[in-house]
Amino acid sequence: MRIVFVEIQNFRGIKKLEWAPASAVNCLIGPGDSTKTTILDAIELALNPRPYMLADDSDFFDLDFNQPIKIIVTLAGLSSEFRLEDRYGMYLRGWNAQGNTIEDEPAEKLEDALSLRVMIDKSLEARWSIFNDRISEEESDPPTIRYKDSKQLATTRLGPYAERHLGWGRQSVLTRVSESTDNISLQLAEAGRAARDAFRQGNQIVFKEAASRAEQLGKKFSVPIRDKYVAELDVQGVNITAGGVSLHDGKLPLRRLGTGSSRLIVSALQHDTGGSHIARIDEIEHGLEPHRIARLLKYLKHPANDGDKALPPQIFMTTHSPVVIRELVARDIFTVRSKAGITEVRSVAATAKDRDTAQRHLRGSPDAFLAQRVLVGEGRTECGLLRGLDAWWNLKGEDSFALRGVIAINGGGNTTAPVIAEHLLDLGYDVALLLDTDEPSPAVLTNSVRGKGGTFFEWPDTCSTEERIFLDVPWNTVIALVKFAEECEGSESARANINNVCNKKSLPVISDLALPNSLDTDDFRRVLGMAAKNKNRPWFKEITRGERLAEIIAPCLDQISGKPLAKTISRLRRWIDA
Amino acid sequence: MRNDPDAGIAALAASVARGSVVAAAGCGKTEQIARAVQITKGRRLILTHTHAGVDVLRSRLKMHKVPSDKFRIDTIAGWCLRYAASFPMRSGLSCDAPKDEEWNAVYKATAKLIKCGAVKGVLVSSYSGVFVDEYQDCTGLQHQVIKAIAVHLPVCIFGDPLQAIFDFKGQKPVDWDADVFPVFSKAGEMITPWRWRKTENKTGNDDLADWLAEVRCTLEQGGAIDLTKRPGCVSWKQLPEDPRFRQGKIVGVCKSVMGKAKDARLVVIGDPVKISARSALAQQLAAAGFSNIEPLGCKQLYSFAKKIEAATGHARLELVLDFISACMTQVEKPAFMNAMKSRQDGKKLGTAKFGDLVKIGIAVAEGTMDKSVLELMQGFHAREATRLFRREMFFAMRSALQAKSTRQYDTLTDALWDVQNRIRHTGRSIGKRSIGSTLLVKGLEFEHVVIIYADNMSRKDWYVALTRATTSVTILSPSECFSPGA
Repeated sequence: MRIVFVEIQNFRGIKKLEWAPASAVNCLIGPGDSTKTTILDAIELALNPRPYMLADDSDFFDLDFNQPIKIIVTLAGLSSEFRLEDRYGMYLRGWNAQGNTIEDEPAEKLEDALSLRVMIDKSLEARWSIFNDRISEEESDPPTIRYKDSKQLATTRLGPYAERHLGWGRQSVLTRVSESTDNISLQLAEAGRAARDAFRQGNQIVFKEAASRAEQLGKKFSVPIRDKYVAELDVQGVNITAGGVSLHDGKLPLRRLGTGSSRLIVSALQHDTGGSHIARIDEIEHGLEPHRIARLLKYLKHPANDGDKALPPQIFMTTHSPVVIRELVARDIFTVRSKAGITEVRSVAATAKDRDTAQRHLRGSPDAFLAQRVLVGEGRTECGLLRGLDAWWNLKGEDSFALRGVIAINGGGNTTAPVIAEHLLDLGYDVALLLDTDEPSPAVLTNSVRGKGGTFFEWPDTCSTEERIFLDVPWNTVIALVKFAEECEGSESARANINNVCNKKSLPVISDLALPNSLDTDDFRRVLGMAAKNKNRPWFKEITRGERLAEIIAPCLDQISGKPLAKTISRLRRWIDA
Repeated sequence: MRNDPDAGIAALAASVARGSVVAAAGCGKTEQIARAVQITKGRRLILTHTHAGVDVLRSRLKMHKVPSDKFRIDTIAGWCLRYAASFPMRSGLSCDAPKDEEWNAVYKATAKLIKCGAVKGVLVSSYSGVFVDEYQDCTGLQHQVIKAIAVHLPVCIFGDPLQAIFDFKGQKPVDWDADVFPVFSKAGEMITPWRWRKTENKTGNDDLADWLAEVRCTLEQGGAIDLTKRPGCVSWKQLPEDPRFRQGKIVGVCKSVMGKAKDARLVVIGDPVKISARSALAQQLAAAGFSNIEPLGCKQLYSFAKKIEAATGHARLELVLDFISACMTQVEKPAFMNAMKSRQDGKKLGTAKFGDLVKIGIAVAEGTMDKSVLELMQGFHAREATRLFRREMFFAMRSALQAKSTRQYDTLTDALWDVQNRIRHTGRSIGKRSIGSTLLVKGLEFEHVVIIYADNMSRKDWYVALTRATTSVTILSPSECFSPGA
């Protein structure tokens, strides 16, 4: 069984949410307070009915307990037991997987589905029931899932700390694996008796005085004493329960394992208990090195060694790790955005123009998906420049990009940069683009980005980033930049690039890289800019060089505040600070 | 059962994808269904028509210790209503408490629901196959439902075309040759009349068994019933040609059979259509303890209920007395009315005879309370001289009046409908001396049966009537050899 649709109303940070999850992995990403965890909590609450569950006022959206909490989880892929007419067959609904819609009654071309609802009103008592439009809201005793069947639906949960599951406590995975809990009870009862015997035979002197004092006083008040007061181990008081029994490696309890290792073991156990089920994993990367993350993900997606036995589980997880994102495919990842209580969950795969686009963006810029706002540099130069500027500003005591929830990524060229920008906008990110203007991006693409609210930073006067820089910075910075190019590419190569452009423009060539003030003309500055962009041996077209570029030009920005370069960059800074 | 000629019927029924088993009366159909359920894999849906039928099947399955998770038994009506009402959007059904003709809409809706495939998942998850009992009692619409189910599940139907008598009020019954056999081809036939055979527990009546098998053959071929070659357990009495002498003769024969029957159950099967004719006979035999078997939803009963409820004053009293007179003998309505009049005039005529009843009568005429009507009915029933001959009608009215006074019903008709509906579910008890029609005694068994010839009795009516007896049959007819209607 798998969840095909989730509806949440008035639950914690969510006023309203409707979402059709994927059948296998659902990795939720989004900034803090985007209600990722609330979604997982809601699903867990709906699928795990329990008696006497009490909510509190803070579980209501905006603490408004007059608006009842309502969570409806619709399941498909139902077992035939669930579809029996005297089980839940008469309550079935129809799931339309193409349109992601529910019809209240099943139909031949729809998949049989069952909706479960949990409602909490101001009495704070949670009430679970089967839901469809045919069951009257006034029904005082609506149909429910039988206790035995609810076990089939129960979600497993791998929290940040998995120790609980390494014992035989309630709902621990080991208890699930142990076939008969009757035997466990018997074993525990016997352990209790043995403990009492052992206590009786041990050194009782410590208790003796108090016991005989009690006996004396009792006699004084004529309390009938049948035998003799002694200290005995009250097994109930000592509380030998299944929860106290835990997995040991030799004598060492397994809970002493590292967080990562215990989570791996527990996860493997959970998925070994068989049957397809619904699992929740919080912060999957917690305590794990990248290679172990990769292995865990692979195992989760294809757990069955025993072949065709079970479908892979449906997994709901959250992450803040680019490693996790890189290991997943686009259809596994969903972005969560919350605005005034309206939570939107969007599929990274479904919002992309095609599957390759989404996949490329994930592989290329996993970090982008973890930020709130993304600055897309057109190419490596721009991306490096932005990162360099971040470092510089940080040094000057201004807020870092990270602090502002911003990340700078490489757009990969003038045609791909607008595409990724649009995709990110569709997923709910705030996006800005830093673009060259010498070879402008196709207008179709940029218009579309503009239409969706993307912000543009472009150099005026049709020039590349390099040209703009060489045009606008003071001459001594020009010299510093050429020196940096010389360091990177060697003097010969750097001079060759320059003379190459001079020849084309019928300007006199230069014989060395001394660059006297006499060369400080707009024409020659343009020559340098074009030389920097040489197709074969560009000077700054690498992220690290871009970063260095920023380091060189940033200190002079204040001196040239009237120039387009400085103006554009300060506008960009304002976007970051917004 | 040694040399069981029906061996294999159960296996056949359990394995056939779509088929029918034709079973003559008393041939152990219920037994074969129970066995088929036992050997079948998974869970079977068993459908029949009446709640009594449900009970019979259930107790037979219990006798065979078939685990209850291997079957579900329901009436076709109940099952259809549950499905159609559970999926109103797909079935198009709008009512959830159908009455009378509204049931046709339920069957249409169910057929639509199943045909559209919406509940395919539920059906194949819930059942491995379906058995339908008493298929001859299906209407054409019910047949459409079963046909639709057969697209998704194996279906084997059981029934007997020769017992197809019905009262569908305009609904066409299913036609075996045109409707049933083309869909559910004949997979087997059961003609060994086990009901009359000797077993460890009963003496048996082989003569009757053989004779009934012969008669069945004749009737199937449309032949005449010839009583000249009857066995000892079958007697014939001539029915006088002159209608004036008929009733006297019938009463005489009935009383004589009753004398022989002693404590055993006896039924008189009379006119298949005219309830008035049967009531008249019941009235004459009331003193001997006979009572009518009433059809549920009897028109006369409902008509009385409506009129009594609408009437006030003297008219109300008249109607209540008419109803009481229709149910029992010796009501002496004119005398009672005189007593009432006398009381109203301040005199005491008839007070000695009717006692407190007069006072209650005035309460009925002057008030609107249901309680007074109830008291008047009870009062007459308690009188020494009266004899109930329409027990079921009387008690149905009584229950409805009681129900109306204790629970919330808008009208007496509603209460009546509910009361009768409950009888439909719990089943009715048939008295030891009963008068009924073939339709009303269908499926029941009596030691002794008296059948009164009527022109409108078909060969199917005759077959059903004759096969109700386990010990003796007495036939009253104008001649010893006659051809029943079609």
